Amino acid sequence: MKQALKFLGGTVIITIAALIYLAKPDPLPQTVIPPHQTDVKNGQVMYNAGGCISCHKPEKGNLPSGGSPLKTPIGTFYPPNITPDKSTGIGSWSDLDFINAMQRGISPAGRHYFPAFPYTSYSRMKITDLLDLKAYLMTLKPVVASSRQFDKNYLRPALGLWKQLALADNSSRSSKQQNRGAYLVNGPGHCNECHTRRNIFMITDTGKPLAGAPHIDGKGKVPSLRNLKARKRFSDAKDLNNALRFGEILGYDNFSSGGMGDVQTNMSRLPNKDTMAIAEYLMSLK
Amino acid sequence: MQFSAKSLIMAATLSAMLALPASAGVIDERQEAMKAVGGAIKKLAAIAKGQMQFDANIVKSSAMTIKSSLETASSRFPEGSGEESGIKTRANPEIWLDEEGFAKAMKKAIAAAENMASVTKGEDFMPALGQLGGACKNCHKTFRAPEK
Repeated sequence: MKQALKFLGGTVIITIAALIYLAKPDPLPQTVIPPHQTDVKNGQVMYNAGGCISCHKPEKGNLPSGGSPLKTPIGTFYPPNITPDKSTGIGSWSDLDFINAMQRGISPAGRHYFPAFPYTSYSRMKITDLLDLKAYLMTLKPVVASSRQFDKNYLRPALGLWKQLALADNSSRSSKQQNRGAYLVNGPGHCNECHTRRNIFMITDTGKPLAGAPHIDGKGKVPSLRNLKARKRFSDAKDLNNALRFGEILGYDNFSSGGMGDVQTNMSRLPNKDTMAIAEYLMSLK
Repeated sequence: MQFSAKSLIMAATLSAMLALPASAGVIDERQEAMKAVGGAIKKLAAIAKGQMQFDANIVKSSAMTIKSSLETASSRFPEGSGEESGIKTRANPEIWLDEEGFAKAMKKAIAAAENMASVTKGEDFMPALGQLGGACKNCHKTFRAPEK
């Protein structure tokens, strides 16, 4: 009996130790950053493709100084200031700090970010695009604005375990060639965060990407982006490109509700060749 | 006394019977009106996309359809005609939580339709369409729920 208890106790301790080990932040090393001449203009494209302003918007103003409430099923977040203010923004971040935030969901202080910040998608981005994005953010006017803390911070350590699963198949520095549209949709555009159903672990189901999902606020659904032509949603890529660029201005009335309005506004700021690449990729999904 | 209690029950039953169809009626009417808006916008969009030539008469009649349909729709959002009616509707509860904001957004769209109706020259068309489409989006962003 004593023996059995000892064994049980030992197993519990080893399991807890293993879980703590697995939950520890796992940052990328400095060596992932290649030599790179930053391109601010490309950074701005990434900023609009990612729609950073949609979540990091202030109550008033156009700079991403954060603070507007972002309601999610687990609570309300107040996304932080990402203008280059040194004390309240990201002005004092190193390039590696930025890469680890975007691809590993780890803050410069080594804490886990909640996946309301979609690093699961950004982990698919090219490091050079991220360096350009940071360079662009550094050109913005610094705004002094502290963000309100999330009220369930005690959950943060456990996020490490979730990340073990959620980031498992996102090899960020994959050498696999993919087309521009696929990259913009699955990387910076983070379309999967809403358009792909999540499994019981709240991880987007990569078996059926972009096939539609229940809406995060519980009402209605987010439409599937597959078989768009067969489903008579769009006649061709040009039609979808018009929808992305102009939305309701050209009568595409499903580009405003449920959060898509902000996405469409951001898309309208992309170069035409990029929205066209997105449209061509989406129209190709069967 | 007995009589008045009876009539009270009768009245309650009657109004309960009436309440549902009444709600269904306004929901139907506003959805029809919004469909008419959509149809007219499609005509204007065809001009914008170059599929149809600019024609001031078509622009004016489409804009007037949008204006009158929006006026019809905006008067058909009585309290209780949201999702709580049990009828399929994309009307968000925000319509009744922020009645002032909703009225303002509707007015903005009606004004944009009026502006479109006054367009006679091709060069004024796109800015007017931008204003109109922007007003549709502005209202739908907050007050219309995602597809069911």
